[in-house]
Amino acid sequence: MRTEITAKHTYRLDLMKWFLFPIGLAAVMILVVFPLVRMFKGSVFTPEGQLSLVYFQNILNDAALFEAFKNSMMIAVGATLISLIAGVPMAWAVSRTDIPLKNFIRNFTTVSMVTPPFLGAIAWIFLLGPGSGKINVLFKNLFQTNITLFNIFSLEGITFVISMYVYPFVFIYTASALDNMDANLEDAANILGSSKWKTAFKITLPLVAPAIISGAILSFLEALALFGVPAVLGMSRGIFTLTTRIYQLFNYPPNFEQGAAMAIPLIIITGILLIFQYMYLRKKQFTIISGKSSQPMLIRLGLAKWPVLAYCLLIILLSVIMPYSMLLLISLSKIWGAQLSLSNLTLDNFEFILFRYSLSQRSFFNSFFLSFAAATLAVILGLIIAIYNKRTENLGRRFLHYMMVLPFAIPGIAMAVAFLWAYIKPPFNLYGTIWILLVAYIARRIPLCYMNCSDAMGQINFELEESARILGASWFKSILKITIPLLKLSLVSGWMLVFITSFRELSASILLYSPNSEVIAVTIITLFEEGEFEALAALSIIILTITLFFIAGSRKLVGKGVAQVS
Amino acid sequence: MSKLAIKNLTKKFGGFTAVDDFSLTIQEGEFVALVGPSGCGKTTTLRCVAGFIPIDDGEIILSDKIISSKKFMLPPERRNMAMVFQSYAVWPHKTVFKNISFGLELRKTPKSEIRDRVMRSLELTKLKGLEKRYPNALSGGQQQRVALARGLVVEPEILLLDEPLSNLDATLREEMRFDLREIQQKLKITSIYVTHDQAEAMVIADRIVVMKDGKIEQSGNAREIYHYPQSRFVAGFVGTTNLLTGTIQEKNETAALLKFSEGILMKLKSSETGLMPDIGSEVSVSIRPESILLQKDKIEAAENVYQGKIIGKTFLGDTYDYRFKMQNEILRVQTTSHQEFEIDSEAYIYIDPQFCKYVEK
Repeated sequence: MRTEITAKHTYRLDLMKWFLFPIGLAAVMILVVFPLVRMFKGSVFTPEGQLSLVYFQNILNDAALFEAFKNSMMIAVGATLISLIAGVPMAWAVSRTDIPLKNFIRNFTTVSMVTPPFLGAIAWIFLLGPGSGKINVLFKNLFQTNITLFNIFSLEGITFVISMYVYPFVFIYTASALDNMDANLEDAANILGSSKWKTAFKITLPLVAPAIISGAILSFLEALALFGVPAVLGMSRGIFTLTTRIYQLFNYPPNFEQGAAMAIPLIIITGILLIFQYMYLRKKQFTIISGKSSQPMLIRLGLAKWPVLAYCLLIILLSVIMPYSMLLLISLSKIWGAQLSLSNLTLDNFEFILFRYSLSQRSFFNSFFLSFAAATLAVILGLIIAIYNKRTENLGRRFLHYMMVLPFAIPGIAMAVAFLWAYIKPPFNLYGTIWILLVAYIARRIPLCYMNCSDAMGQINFELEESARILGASWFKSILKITIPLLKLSLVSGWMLVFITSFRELSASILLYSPNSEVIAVTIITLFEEGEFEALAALSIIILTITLFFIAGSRKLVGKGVAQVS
Repeated sequence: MSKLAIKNLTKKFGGFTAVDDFSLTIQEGEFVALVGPSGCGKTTTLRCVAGFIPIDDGEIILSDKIISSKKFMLPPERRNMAMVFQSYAVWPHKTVFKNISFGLELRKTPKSEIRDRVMRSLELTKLKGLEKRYPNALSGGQQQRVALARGLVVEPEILLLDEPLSNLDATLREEMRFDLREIQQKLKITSIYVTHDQAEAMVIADRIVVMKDGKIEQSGNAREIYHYPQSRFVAGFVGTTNLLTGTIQEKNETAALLKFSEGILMKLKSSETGLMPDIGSEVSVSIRPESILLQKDKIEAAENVYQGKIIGKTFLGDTYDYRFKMQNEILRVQTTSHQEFEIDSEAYIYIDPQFCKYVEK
């Protein structure tokens, strides 16, 4: 029965812990450190090898580059403002008032968040394009005028479309803060004689302000990082943003150094704002997340409920229903632009996309393969690093942690720039193959998996593992038999999220793809440039369907998981 | 032969010394409770014994083998111990049966034997019939029984219990105390029990170790700890008491006369454990509220009779808790709940000198 004590045993145990380190280290080196270092180096050296800050000076001095910078800022600020105007009242309405259709509103906000914004942009061209946009045409016919109501190919248009897909960040953060707020805090004000409206402004609003600001920061960053919308709505009209300008710098005439220098302010702004958001929230949010102790009294709006509901529905109409219907309609049309009639309806576009068009078939296959592989590898690597950081005291774990969250601050196009710099030339020449897309996808999404795992592990009481240890399980065995099974649902939902976001990835793919490694989003952009709108719409509908299917599935899983674990 | 010996154990967290030169020997089959306020180092001591945390100094010896020292720590899985946690730590993804059989599976016990032993421990912990359930379908008390069964089934050399009952509601807690004691007595398993609840420790343990600031304050059985507290801290922590401070006026081999500030004189018998300090030195006396006799009329006794006033009363069901003021001293006095006194009424108390316990520090 008695166990002989030898030094060998304890040594072997430590080895098991250390075994994870080289895997994690190799992952962050390939995915994060090497590409970023290459890009930073690239931005401060001329092609002749001369140390120089000229590329940074160009951003301020070169009118075209500065214009792009300015446009990006204007779009991001504008989209954030619209997000606040749309998201905060909606969140308040569904969380605190008695309007009907609350679940409908919540679900459609999620749909809008998972919709690839470039699809929204394309759809809006058919609604608000200056020539034949349906709304503009309607307006002209209705008022017998030649004035265009709204031209979507403009800074305002870009800002509007982006805001329709980034407002959900404000909405979701605000709504969840309101949902989780201790209703006693409001009751306490009411009992002291404060009216419902006064309580809303004096108690509720200040309490959820950190969440609103957090959501606004995320909306801002997403708006800043988006490539698809300004590409579809701006580039053809000479309106450039940071992201589209970077794309240009890697096309013709190529200027890799300038591209790298343009990506860096994007990363720095993102990084600073994310750190600010993290610090600010950490300081402030403890007031709200005291747990739900009682159901809040809903504010009875009376007749005011109808305008409030109409406002919420308008946002949903603009962000989801109108663009989706538009795409569906086009996808079912023989020729877009002809009169709407039954005889013009067809399923040919879907058949063409799925069976006859080799580019789309190839990109389907590539996207499936890439998303599957990226999701699987991101989950495994994220899990390994999360275990190493959370469940050992070994050296280097903080380093791995920071390297894992760093990609959060790197917009897709900047990531693509870094990967081009790192893997376009020997010794690691991956450009021209599908593998450069794979590593980029993993790098873009691994923070999601890592944080998912890490948070879930933080919620596992360590006594669950300790009780396995004391009953005779080694460290590794307790991880294998207790921790990982308990993480199963987080792992699956993380996998699904990576899969679906990779499946329609555009901003990194657009720089990294090459003939034979096209992916779906690239194919859509190609179809758009070629004017194949019916086929494009059919492909879009397929992607949206797959996306919604996956999101519904992962939400179901996560909901179940919470119930099961607690 | 002692089963477990903790010698000069010291554990620091940064600049804070959680366990300070702690020594304790536990015999085979003994049930020891570590009691103390939060932060006294009791849980840290237990976790050092379990092998979850390395120690800074001293040694822990299990059956004559060093399992923890300054340089060496046998990992928990090689100590053949079991532990029951405050959070139960029942694995939510395993059935009751699988929870209990896990330790046996790790020991590569044959399947048929696993079944028998799991069934036996289910019976012992009154869990029969629940083996197929998942923990989320069990009550808190049942989950704690699973945690206990899971530990017992591997027949550990030492069973460690870290506040196992503190998450249960009051009635269940009381019931589980007796069950735990019964099971431990039946199996004669060497156990260390950590709790902040002195009443719980009294029910459960053969020996109580009161800890404060990482050190042992006093160790002994329930009676010794309660009636012969060696320090003001122990007297106050274990049960309620009146602590008075005075100077020794006279003394002989068997008794001493104590003088309080206001000239009150009190006779006390010498403690069983120590000698009385010299005349003139300041000492503390512990008097349990239930040891004081309270009456309306003057009590005929040679000494320790005092006149005073009732200044507060609380009805507690089985007892009355009175506040009795004599000159500047206020004493808590417990009577049966049938003894009624009005507030502000005059009364007398008598304290038998043998109940006036001299407290060393």
